[in-house]
Amino acid sequence: MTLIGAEGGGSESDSDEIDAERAQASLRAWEKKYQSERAWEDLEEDPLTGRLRVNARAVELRARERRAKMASAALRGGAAKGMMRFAYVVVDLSRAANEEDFRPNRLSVVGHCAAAFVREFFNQNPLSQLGIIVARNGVAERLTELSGSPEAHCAALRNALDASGDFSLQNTLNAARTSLKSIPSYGSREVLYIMSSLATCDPGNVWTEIQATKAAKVRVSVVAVAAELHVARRLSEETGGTYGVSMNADHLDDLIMAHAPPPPLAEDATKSCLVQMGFPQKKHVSKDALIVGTRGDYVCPRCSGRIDELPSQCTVCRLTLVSSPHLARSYHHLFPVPAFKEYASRNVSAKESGIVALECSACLASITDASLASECEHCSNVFCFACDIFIHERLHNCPHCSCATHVESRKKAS
Amino acid sequence: MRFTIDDGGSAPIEVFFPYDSVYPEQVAYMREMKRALDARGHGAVEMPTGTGKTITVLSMCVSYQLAHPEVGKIIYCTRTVPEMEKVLEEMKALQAYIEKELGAETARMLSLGLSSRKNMCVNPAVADEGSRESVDGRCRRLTASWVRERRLERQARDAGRTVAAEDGEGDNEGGVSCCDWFEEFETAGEKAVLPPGVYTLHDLRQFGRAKKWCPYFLARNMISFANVIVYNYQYMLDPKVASLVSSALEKECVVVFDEAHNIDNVCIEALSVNLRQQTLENAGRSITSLNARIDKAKQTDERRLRQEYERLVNGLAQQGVLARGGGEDMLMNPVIPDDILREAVPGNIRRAEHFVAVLKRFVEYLKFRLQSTQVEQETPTAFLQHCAANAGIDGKTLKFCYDRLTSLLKTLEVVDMDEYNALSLVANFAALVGTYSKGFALILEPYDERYPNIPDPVLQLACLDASLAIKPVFERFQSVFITSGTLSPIDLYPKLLGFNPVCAKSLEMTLTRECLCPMVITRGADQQAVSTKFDVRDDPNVIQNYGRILVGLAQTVPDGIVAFFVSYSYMENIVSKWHETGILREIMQHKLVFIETTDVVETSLALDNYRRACNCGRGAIFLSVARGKVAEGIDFDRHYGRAVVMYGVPYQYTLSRILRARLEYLRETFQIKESDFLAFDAVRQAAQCVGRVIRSKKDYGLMVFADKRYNSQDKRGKLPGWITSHLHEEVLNLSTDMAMQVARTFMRSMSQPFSHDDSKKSLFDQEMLNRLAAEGGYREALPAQARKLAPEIMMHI
Amino acid sequence: MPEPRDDDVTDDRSLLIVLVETNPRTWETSEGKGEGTPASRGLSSVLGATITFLNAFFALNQQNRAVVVAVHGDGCHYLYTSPLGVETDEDGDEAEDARWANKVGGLDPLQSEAGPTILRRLGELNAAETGSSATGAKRDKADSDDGPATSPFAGALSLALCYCNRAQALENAAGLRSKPRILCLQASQDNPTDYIPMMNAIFSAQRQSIPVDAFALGEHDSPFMQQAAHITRGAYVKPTLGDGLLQYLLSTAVMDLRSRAFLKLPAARGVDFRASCFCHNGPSSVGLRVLRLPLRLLRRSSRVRHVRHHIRRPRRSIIDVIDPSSRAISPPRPPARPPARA
Repeated sequence: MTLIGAEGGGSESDSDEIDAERAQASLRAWEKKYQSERAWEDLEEDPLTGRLRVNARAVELRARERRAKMASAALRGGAAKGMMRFAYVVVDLSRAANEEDFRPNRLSVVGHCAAAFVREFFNQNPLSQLGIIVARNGVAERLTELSGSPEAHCAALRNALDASGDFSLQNTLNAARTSLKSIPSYGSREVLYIMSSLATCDPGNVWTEIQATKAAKVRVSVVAVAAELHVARRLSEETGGTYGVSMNADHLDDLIMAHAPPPPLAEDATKSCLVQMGFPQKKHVSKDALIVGTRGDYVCPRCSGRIDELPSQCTVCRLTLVSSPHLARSYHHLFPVPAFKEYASRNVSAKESGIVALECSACLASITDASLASECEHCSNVFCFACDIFIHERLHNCPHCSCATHVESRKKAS
Repeated sequence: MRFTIDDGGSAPIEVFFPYDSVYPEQVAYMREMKRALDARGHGAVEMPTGTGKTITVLSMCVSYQLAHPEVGKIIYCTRTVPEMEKVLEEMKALQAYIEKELGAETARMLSLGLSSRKNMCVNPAVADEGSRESVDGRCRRLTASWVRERRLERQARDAGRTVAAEDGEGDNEGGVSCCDWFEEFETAGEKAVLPPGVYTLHDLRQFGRAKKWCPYFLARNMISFANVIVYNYQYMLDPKVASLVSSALEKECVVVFDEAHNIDNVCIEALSVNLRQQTLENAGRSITSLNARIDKAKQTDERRLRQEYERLVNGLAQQGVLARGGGEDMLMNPVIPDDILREAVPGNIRRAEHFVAVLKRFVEYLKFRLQSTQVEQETPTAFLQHCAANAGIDGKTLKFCYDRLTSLLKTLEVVDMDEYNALSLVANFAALVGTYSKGFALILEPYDERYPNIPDPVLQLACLDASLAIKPVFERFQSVFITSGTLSPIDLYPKLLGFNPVCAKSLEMTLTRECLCPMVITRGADQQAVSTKFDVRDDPNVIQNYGRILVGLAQTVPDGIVAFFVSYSYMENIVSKWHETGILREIMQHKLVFIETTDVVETSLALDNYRRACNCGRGAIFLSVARGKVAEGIDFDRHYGRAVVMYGVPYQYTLSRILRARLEYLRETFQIKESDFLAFDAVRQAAQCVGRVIRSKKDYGLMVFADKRYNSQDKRGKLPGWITSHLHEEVLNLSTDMAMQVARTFMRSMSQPFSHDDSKKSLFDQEMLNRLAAEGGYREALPAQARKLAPEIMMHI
Repeated sequence: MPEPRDDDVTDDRSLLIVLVETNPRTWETSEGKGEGTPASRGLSSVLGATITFLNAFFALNQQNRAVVVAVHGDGCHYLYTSPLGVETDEDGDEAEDARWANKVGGLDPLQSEAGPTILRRLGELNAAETGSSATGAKRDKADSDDGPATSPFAGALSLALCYCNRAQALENAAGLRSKPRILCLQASQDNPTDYIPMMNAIFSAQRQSIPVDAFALGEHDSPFMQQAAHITRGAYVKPTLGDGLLQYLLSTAVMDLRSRAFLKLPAARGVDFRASCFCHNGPSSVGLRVLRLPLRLLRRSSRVRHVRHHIRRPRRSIIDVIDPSSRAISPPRPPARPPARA
């Protein structure tokens, strides 16, 4: 009998109240660490308007990583990029998507991110095409075929948002691959998985499918919502894609959005060829003009036939017609703005004082925190952090540089 | 890379390390070893798996050998053949590196592995035999000295064209064949040597095939020339085998026991004997056959028996048991060599027939003892008295039984030992019980505790003192190291094994990220405590909560999950309950479920399918048992084990009499409290189980201790340091839902890409080491480098 | 990432950013300003019209705010910025009353500052310009003999957008919402080397849903401004009557976005969608496009060596649009450097 006692000896030795207070302590510790998804402590009251805002420290943290991102983006700049992308987005609507570790649940978060991604995708790759595959009940439904209109995709996705059953990697991969087989040789084939499930139920051996995909030069990237799944990671490694796991909803958004800009091209993924295309002008036709064929606003530069919308092919001479803005949208991938230097790091005095009376040369905002200010290397103008971000992520111009180049170009020209 | 270890003690050692970066804990480990080696003392070091224990030990020892030629062989004892091969592979790398650095001739080292005939035999006729015993028997049949003599004379006879009548033995040996490999080896004689190098079993077999030498005997011969020997525990600990193999080793050897967390049990098993009805029956049968042989021998050649009688009169000492350099290694005395009295065999068993008669009586006596219906437990002395009183056999006689039997079998030129196994077991029993009065217990159980109505009498001679078997090792060799991933509390092992180490340290791993996340689940989502204590383990709520834990993990953790239960019976019970309540179905929605069974084949099949399921992303759960094969041997690294659940505290079966006896003994001799020992034993098993999932620093895994008792300090404290250091407050005393939150966060953060340069801070490369060395040795550098490195964990028991 | 939303123009307080070309080189020469165009009336008349227009704009809504940027030869300069909404909200009622008390002609004193400030600043600018020693003059001379003068509107747009960005950020923080818009008064011709910055600016304007109204004061149409207006749903106007500039402005650009929906803006007569050529900096209508190399358009008639030259260096990411008939459209220019350096 002593043995039984001895066996339970541990629980006897420490008395209850000790237990109780230890339990309290660990509970508190746990809450501190794991209950702070809503980062209250990041918030502080804005002195100017009585509203809450994210406090400076948090801002600075974010600032650093954003800047790191910009720098890397600037580095990646010159590389050849696939402008003609044919991509499938596979949205995992299996049972796992109903879990509620995101607010309100994964399904809505993922749905929103996907829609946002589709729009952004077409913003950045106007000439590319995209389709959506939904994985549900172990099968792959091709929600939308490859096409160029973001709204259609988003609408389709919005209507399709309900989750059930298992997720099958093999089926979805097969669906994507078979339909990507037929695209022209100069386009880059891609598949983006948004995966909530932690397992895949496949009819056969998923590895054969993965090999086939690899052979078909399809680049598969995976963004996992929950955790790292071995086979998924291997898949992305095999096919030269990227693999990411989201820490929280925002991170998920970042991960997905990271696939919007065109990826650097693998040498053998596509082969180069010359395609002739025209840039029609928009000319209004007077009501009483007599026109045979379509009466559109655009005029084909070669046969001056009329076309309704762009991009398209000339109905008369089959010339591929795009509007130059379509092309222009993707220019900034080719000439990213070089990352700005940190201002404080260059001016010691500013560093010491910390606060200096600075004015952002772009938006005239007075810069309070010099450590966040930055400086363009060419025109050595100082920018506030907001402008820095804005310039690199949205505008893709350095205002003063573009003036300067203007002048300099004229000098050169003379 | 080369660097010098200087602990301020004696001359610094230059260590040759085949890789170009080394973990801080490895350096610390080497310093510990150096201290012990310098002091010619023993050591016990705990270092988590996945930090390159093996290569650390090897490179340190070999480097030390190079610096101090007077140090003898390095004897590396492993538990299994695969581990052995792994060690030898590492050794190859080291060898190659040293040769690169020093040139081939300075570093002429011979390293080889040694295993049973089964693993080494190249003779197809023999190797095809199924079991280990049958291979041994077959081999002996071909290589025993007299067999070969007979063959020679047979050949002579054949040469003389005279067809002689076969004698009996000739017949039942099925014609006199022989093993060409062995013959070749014998004829090669002195010239049969291995060139320096590293030989795994496979290499040895190939070499053997090429040269047509028997690799087994070649290896055994070469032991005396080798610098590094890798073989199984048994060869060192089990006196029967050790006296055969390890007797030739010189004193200056360095002995290393790897994965030594269970070494005390190994020692105990080496000296324990169980006798069942069955055994005794067989023994009886073999006695009769023995009689028959004796009679035959009487008719054929009285001479041999007479010679033997003479020999015995002159006493065992002069008897060259091992002489006649044949392949017959018969039975060796189970008793530690020093304990064998160097005196003549008592008269009453000198004559073969008398001896057999005594054996017969003894067996009868044992049978009689087995008839008793209630449990009996007594000391050897009591047993001897009883035996003397009822069977008229005194202890001295018993003590000699074994050797007597050996010599008899020799004289009768018996080669197929397997038919005398039972008898030798009895003799073994006799010898042990005759020799040791202390540290043993005789326990007679008429039936198994668990099935009281099925009579299954068993007479157990249980060794209670682990130090008995290993003492000679400690005494003989100048430094012995025991090392493992889990040796905590580090100061208990010296007590158990009866030695005092120069260094006893528990090293931690320095991690670049918190890649292992242990947590203690004490209650279910309904706040009811979970535990496998006897009183609550069948409570449906507990079972339900346990099920919930697994369900939760199944939908939170990708790929593979392993769950360990305290016993087979408990696992069967709980799984069936889960099946009834539908929890199993729920689990199956997320992952496939595989179960370990007592059947090895089934289990390995299940394991194989489990791995397949993990590879193809389906995900799987493996239900296993602590103290089972899987818990000891199988790794669940990488995606094969992302999480491991330890259901309950795996206490030994506390009602078993042997355990009780041992506990008493420990309390009396070593003043180790029962509860402490039990807890220690249970916790080390648990640590073993959860340790399965982390096999390298790049790996990551979740470790769930699902029992409220783990929350108490005396359990937690006994866990190895590399786990306790991660048992932060926030992962203690969790309920299931909280635990799932933790798991989710952990899985996410671990899945984030982690760049290699982070791992720099837990890696020393060459110039860093040089810098540290310049700054004045690692004693300063290390704590700075990894502060939580190597704290002495002192659990006072 | 805010999508272009046209529905949320609920608040009619608006922020107007005027980019007025003040580049002396443009104005000192008379070339490129045909007969009767506003440009031909000279800078002063344009400025006059602008200031009057601004006053009208302020008069519409006392919370309206404006920024005036001078698109100068050497860069862009803020001439006038009315204080941003947040501060004005903060000060209490009595301050409010005080402001109402000393209104000048219905104008908030802060607003009535606008005209004078603009002129003063401009004066300072020119002073600096001429003051910048003989070199400046020399450069002007040197410049003047190459092609028609051009001004950095791309830079100006970028600057304006940065300002809008800040303004919106501030007001979102303050829970207000303002719809900024941009008005360009361009007298010179486009500078094709500005193509990429221009386009970038236009697109980010589109993404922020900031309409760009463009006035081409000179005699030439401005393709860039056409596209800007077209893409950002602004209005492109090319006044034919020089004296009527104010009229044009008032009828087009004064209204806030919501009211705009009810107005009939001058219909764009057509948009010149031609990309600009990198070898010749001339607009082009048909090009060869090299896919797989990033994005590249080569003229059919351009020398084969040239094509090879590009294909051989696949990593260089250039867009070449060169069209066969470029000579007819744009006066021949010396081949410019690869714009990657830009």
